[in-house]
Amino acid sequence: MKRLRAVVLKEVRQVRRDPFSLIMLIALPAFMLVLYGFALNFDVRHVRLAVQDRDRSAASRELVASFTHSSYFDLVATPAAGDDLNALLERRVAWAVLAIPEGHGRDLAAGRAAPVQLLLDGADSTTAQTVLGYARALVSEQNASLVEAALARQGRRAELPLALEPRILFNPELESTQFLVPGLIGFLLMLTAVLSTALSVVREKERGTMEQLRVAPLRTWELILGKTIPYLGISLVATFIILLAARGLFGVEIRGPHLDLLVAVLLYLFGALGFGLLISTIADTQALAFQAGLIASMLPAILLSGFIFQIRIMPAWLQVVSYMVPARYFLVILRGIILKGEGLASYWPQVGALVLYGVATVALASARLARREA
Amino acid sequence: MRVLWRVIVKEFLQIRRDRKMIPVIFVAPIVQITVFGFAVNTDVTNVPTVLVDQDRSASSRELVYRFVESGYFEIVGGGERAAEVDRWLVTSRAQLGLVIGQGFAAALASSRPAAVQLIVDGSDASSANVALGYASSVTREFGALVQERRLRAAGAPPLAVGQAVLVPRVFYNPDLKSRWFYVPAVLAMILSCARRRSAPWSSSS
Repeated sequence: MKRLRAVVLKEVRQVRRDPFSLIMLIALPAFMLVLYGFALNFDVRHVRLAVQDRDRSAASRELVASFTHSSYFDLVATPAAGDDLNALLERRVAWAVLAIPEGHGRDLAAGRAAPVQLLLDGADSTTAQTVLGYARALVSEQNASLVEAALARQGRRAELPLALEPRILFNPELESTQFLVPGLIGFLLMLTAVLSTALSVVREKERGTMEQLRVAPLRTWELILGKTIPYLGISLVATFIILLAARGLFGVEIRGPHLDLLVAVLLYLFGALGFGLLISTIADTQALAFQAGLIASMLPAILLSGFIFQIRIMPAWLQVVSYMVPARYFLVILRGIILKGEGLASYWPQVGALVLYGVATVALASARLARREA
Repeated sequence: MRVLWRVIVKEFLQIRRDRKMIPVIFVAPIVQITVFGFAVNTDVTNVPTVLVDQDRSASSRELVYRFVESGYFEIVGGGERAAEVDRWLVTSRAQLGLVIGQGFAAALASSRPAAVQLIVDGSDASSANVALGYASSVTREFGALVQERRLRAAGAPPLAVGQAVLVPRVFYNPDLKSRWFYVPAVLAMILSCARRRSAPWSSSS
């Protein structure tokens, strides 16, 4: 126990002597949260819409009004007949162009189908899909009111016989930040925890002080624990700051029990620190450790964790790979506690997986360390 | 010019000497773009849905069939009561709950309006939004079909109402595949990782 304390103390002193690294470890995650939190916003509102109404009838004006009166679309241009509509998209003046051909009102009155065209910039497919959804909804609403009017003329009941009653749980306003912020926390913690431990061990190797640690009367586990405990503390402080920033800036409140959140974060950090140690047993230089840590922790935590891209729709072999990414489990827990107000008990498979991951990485790392000592 | 050449040669020698770094620089990006290229996909299809069909009638089954047939929804489980849906959503095993209450078919057969409930896990806002849009268009179409059948059964003259038809034309990415949008971004991310060779907070690099 005394020896463990000595290692911890030594590590803390070393961190303190390098205030730049300390600030990086604590402030950088919060800074990145702010940056990404504002940049990553998938809410689609105020789409720039151009409208070319070649019909100029009551029906066409009504359709245009239903678009421009919704908060989804902002009218930015009204090109005349014969204008180049593609150019509006190419020059990014508009995101979408609604074109109503001549005879629209006449066709509707005659009971024929009346096509209207929507030109759409599809490069960002997610946004395009949402915009298309809005447009379809507006057009079908317009159609429903046409049917209603016709039925009313026949003296019949007009309402549609079937209604959908949606009830949206957990995020009723459907704000994308509520979903993305927990994901960001998972990725930032992974990044800082892996890099800080990996670099701290490799730094000893580079400076030749690893030899001194090896000849010191220390058991492997004491060395490992002593090396990780300070960074666990720093990462916890960073977590706290991130959560505070998430609440203050994005209104992301923790609805579930805070103690369960702490346990989940500790479990996750345990695995991340273990992984950092594992990297440090392989890499000899800080440059390599940094590079390997970055590639092996950051990209999977962003791309294979369900942070933005759902694991469910990935190819099967990639889903298998994603089982090795601890962020995958952590995000389910984190979103459950933060957004759904649940406790850890609902997520025992994920908790189990995190424990397994932590034990596996630390065991592997200590096995590699011990072999070198022998 | 010769000095520049020397520096370039020196830098290459240095890279070559760092044997462990070579795979990190060259192999890793190739592996990454293959792996992550398959990961980046935000298309909303096969949304995992829990079904609570308390009506168990031909009409309710027809509605469910229309949901499944659309390709956007996949029934992953069933329950007896609406309250059971919550457990599925909380544990993220499903994103939607489709609840068809008792008396659905009876309401459709009479002239009373029928309702189906859709319980949505809104935490993933963008996919929830898209799924909600699909669900409402499926129900609306089904509603229109029922209405048409009713009118025909009542012997009413066919309704002469024109309907506006939206013809979308999508530029640059006509199939709206999200992969086309994200793969360039992933490429940029990987390249920026590969370029940063030394740690910003390492004192000896």
